[in-house]
Amino acid sequence: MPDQRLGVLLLGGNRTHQENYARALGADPRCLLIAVSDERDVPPERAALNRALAAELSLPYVADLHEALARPEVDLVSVCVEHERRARVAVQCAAAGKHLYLDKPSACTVPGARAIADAAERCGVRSQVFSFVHTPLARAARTALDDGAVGQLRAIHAEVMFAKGPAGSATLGTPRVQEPFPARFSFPDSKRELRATGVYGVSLIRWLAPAAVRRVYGITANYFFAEHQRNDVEDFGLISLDLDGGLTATVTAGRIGAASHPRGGPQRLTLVGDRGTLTLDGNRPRLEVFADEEPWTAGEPDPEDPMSFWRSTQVRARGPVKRAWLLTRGEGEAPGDARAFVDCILAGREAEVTARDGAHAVETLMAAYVSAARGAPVCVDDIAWPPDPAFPAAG
Amino acid sequence: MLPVWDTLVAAGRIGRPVFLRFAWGCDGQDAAGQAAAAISRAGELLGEPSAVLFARGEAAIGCLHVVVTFRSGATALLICGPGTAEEDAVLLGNRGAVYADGGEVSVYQRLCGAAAEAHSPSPEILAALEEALRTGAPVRVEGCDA
Repeated sequence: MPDQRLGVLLLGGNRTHQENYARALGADPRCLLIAVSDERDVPPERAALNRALAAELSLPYVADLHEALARPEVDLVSVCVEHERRARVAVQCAAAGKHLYLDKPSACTVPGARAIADAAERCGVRSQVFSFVHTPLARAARTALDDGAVGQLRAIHAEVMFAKGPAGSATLGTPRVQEPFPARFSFPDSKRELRATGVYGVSLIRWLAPAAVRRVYGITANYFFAEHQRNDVEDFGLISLDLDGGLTATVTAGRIGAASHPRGGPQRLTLVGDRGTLTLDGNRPRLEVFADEEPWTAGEPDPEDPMSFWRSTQVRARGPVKRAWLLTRGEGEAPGDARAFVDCILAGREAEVTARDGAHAVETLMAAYVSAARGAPVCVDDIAWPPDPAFPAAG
Repeated sequence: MLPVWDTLVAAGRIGRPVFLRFAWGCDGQDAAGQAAAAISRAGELLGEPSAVLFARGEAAIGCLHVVVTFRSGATALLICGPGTAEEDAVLLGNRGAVYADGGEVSVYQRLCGAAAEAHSPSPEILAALEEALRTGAPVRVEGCDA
């Protein structure tokens, strides 16, 4: 009898978010992990990291993406290749008739993100971009709005920041000079945090209030890390949005240093309506524990992953664990992002954050860079987006 | 004004302050005036006298937010909504952070009490804020440490 489980192909390996997505999908009894794969011409270092994940999961590594996509037992592809290659790879996966589970943001260019959404829709496959909409925080906000807790919604303020990395090394005192169309996104020791963490807030806002973003005002800054400054990428970002229907919103995003929060970082949503204001905190409800035990201190940064981006290096480092705040609302109260996508595929319905939603998020985030470069708000529809250099066919 | 914020910043416990996010409920009071006082207070905490304001929302219904950019690149996000619930503040330094929840006493009063009560909002800041809200464009203002 043929296996009825969804066959999952993993693209990208260690030191990508595939480290997490693969394990989440593998833990779902409705899924069967098939293999790890990537494009044939990836650098040897990337191929080695891909093979390392395959070995950890006892999976074969298929060095040729086309060969992997030709396997009929593959139903779903988890796409975590580097940002710069993601659009090109994801479009190939859709063209092969595979459902797309996409790392966030879905692409690093607007034409690339749109091409993924177009391909998914054209090829009739399901798509989902990783987001926080399946977290207890998001579900609580959804319920509050549905219950009319604040009346008619006027504004949403999303704050998602990650307390990771050894802060304090950035040179302060001058505003960051932002380029309007950033081209490079993959660095071993830094990320463009307005985009990498801002995507959570942007996606949450669009999910809670599905209105088009018309106008964007963005600021980028270097407050914490010399690594980000050396690579000319921001470690902090602020975005103000005007959406259809008179709705306004803000997104606060950044990597603020491991010592700057008792857990993983602030996660808050403030809903402003005509009848009141409600703030929801992803770090509540909680217990706060103070005891005569060794206090948390930042461990030595891993030289290959000083910002603690990846699970594998954190496991290897075995650094101190923050234990002062213990959440009393368990993850089990929300389905989890990967599991929610499997639910959608099996039920034949669209995901809650599709590749099209992901493209809208990319558009908003990239508009914020344009605004930050100009020092002025920008109308999203007025921006002429440059083509995706790794995928000239897009756009 | 409770001096604990200033004492904490002066002691250098969080390094150099770089970002303030401050949200409060105007509770039917003058949202623009409160926001102007909050801009002044942000300038004090971030040690910066001049700024660019970008503001959206409607002061008349108590719903607005202001993005403040200081000369050094430090920033503030000031959020005002109707009602009184869940007021709070975050002050990020380059080596640490301060988190303040509401509780019985309004965070607005704790953070901005002196600026709001002992002083009228700076006319320059208030005018700039009103212009920013009206035009939807960034407006430069001097004297945020008023």
